[in-house]
Amino acid sequence: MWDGLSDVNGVQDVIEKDMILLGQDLATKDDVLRLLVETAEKNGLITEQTPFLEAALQREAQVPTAIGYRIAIPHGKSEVVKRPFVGMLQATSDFLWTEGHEEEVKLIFLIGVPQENEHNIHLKFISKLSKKLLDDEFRDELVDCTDVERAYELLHSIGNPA
Amino acid sequence: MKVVAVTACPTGVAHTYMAQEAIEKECKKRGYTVQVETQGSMGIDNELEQEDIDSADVVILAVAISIEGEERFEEKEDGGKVLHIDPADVIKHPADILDRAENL
Repeated sequence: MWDGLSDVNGVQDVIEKDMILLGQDLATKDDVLRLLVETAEKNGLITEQTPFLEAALQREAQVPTAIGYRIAIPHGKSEVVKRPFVGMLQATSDFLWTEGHEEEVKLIFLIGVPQENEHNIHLKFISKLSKKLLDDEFRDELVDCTDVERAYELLHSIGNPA
Repeated sequence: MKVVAVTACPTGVAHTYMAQEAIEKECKKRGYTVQVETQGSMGIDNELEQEDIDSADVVILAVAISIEGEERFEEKEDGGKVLHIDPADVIKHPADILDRAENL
């Protein structure tokens, strides 16, 4: 059964378990992004932290990515990104994402996209995940989830045909 | 009512598709016919033909970048039937945006 991301020509996980960080006691955009970017590098998803962090911050400066519903979806496109990936960070409580904008967030999804658009299957997964975040039940469970296995399961359930 | 829309965003990987989902969901709630073209990192999906646009009541361009095939909407623009918004707006306030579209 094709679950949308694994084992199609050896396509690796877009969201690895090591990229799911729950219960993080962080309360600023900078701290959250820094930790996620660091974790991405540790897991070999990016070759360098700074260019990617900069790309994500630049995107934030264009239009903040807190889109309501207690989530933010910062993302960066950079040549240091080896393949499309998503990192999820759940904070211990809601905090203001951007000065001057009212949105508070508790769940952050950092999306990394390589410079060349060739990983279509991964990109497809990411677009599906983005859409699924508009599903209240799905999102609420992730916002309060305390078990990485459960979070991983949820995130991978979206590839399945209904 | 028939709504057609295009969504497009710089990185083209999240907002583009969330905006599409938000518009589709809200239109379904109201019983409208809807077709949303996305211009994202995977290319153009669900492309709107000229006749789809001509037969629509209103056009929503939820785009944060310049899009391909903008000429398709010229007539609707002249008729004041095109709503230009940021993708983030429709994700956050789909009902407001559809209300505004209705009142064009």
